[in-house]
Amino acid sequence: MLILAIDTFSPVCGTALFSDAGPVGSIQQTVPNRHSEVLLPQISSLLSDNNLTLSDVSAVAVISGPGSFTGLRIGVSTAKGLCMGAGIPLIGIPVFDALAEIRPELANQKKKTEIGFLIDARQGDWYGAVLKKSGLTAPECKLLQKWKEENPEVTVWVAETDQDLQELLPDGIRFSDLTGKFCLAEAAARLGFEWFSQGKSNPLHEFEPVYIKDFIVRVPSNPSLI
Amino acid sequence: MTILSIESSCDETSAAVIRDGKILSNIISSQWMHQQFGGVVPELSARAHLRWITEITDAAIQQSNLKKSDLEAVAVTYGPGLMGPLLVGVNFAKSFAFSLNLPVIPVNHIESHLYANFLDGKQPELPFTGLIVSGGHTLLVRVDPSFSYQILGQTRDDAAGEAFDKIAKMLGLGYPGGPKIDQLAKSGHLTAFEFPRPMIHSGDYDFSFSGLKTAVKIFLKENRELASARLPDVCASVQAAIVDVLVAKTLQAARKNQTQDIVIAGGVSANSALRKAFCELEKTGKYRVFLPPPVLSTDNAAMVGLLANLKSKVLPLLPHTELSPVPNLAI
Repeated sequence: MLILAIDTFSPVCGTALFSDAGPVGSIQQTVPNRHSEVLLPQISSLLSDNNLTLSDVSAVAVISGPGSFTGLRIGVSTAKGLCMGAGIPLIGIPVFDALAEIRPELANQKKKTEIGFLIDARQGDWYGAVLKKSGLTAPECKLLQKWKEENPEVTVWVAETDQDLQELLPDGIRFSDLTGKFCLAEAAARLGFEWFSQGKSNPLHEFEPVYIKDFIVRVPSNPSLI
Repeated sequence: MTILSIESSCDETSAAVIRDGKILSNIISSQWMHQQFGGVVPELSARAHLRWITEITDAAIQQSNLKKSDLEAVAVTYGPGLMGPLLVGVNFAKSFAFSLNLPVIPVNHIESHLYANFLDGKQPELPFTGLIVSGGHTLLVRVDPSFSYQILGQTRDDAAGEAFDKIAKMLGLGYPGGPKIDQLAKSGHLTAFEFPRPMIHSGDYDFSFSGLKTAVKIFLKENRELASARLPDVCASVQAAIVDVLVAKTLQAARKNQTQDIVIAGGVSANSALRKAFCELEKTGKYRVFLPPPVLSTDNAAMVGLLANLKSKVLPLLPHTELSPVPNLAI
């Protein structure tokens, strides 16, 4: 079994392969606004560098969001094209599940610590989820202040953003900038492998990114002049 | 050559299968949710494309009675159009092609409109004069062999289809209102009211429709009750103004080009008054006019495949894994 994972939710474009023998390889590039030209050549290189072709791949795991609408659109449309052409299943990996997967590297401390994950959703909003002892909370979109107030027990906030959040956090709370530091595609590949082994996959046609933040359109008033 | 083609530049998700220049299938899914917003909302359009692209492609392959393994190339529109919607079509098409080891044929949306007329039977002869008229474009072009083009003129503000839609909004006909103006105009008199024919005597091949829009706006403010009572007459008169300009400029361009063949393309080519005017021009015997069948007038993937089929004969076939949309792609 071989899983190909795709990560495009942030300025990073990453891909990774995971087989029965463990991690096979990964590529990660920081390419803001260039995912569309970088992603497929990157997949092609990753496969050929490891003497593999798409026909060796059992399923495609794609980071499903939340995150950049454009990034997710490119990742998911690429995953859909590969899966439909090769006739293989698609597995959606929510960003926070992939982040929870790399928890030891992120927290670098005892397991009982609660970690908060945040992704900059712009206009002051943050997508987030908290990894508690009981597991990962459902993803939500809220103001930063709300995230802090409602989760006093979180000692580490890990965020995908180009802002420095440390200044905004109370003393003793640590902020870690995620951007480009870890290969989320590797985590997605590992998780995809695990889920696919358990028989999990998503229906190809109906699959859509996790947008969370509603897209609000103003309905214009009636412009009729008669 | 058997080609799967994909079109997603605006609010139609479409896939088609073309074999040796024949259309085997052409599935078009139009997005209607934009009506309530009075125009296409790019983010909503992109989301809908992503939701439907695999099903539309599946349907196109099934209806062609072929299998994925029969395909020899994948053609896709990569511009001009809306970035979000284009990203879905381009990334889906090139990864689908990659998974089947097929080449990708990138197609210009405007160019594909011109080649919607290259079907079996009567075909235009190069060089010809092309009028592309839709909600997003109004331009006159001289089409030479080897896919070479000379733009003669284009709109300086609103596209003709945009003018139709905006005036329809003022008339309370909703969005997209162009086809409703066409429908109402059928029972109206085209000389009932006098509206300007902008730039009709300008001597160049450019268009402008914002002045007409303003003229209609002023007319409606001053004659609200009259306009309301004689809506079909207003529609017929507005439509006549737009059609007159389009026909006159196209004719001037054909004279300059010394081409006998005139090709009309784009969504507004479905307008019945425009079709009638060009058919009458053909009756003079001086020109041959090519109007695409209505299903190939609006955005569709069959025209993308028809052009790709012609291009595949002269251009190298490559995987184009790096292909990205170009929203302002020129012809």
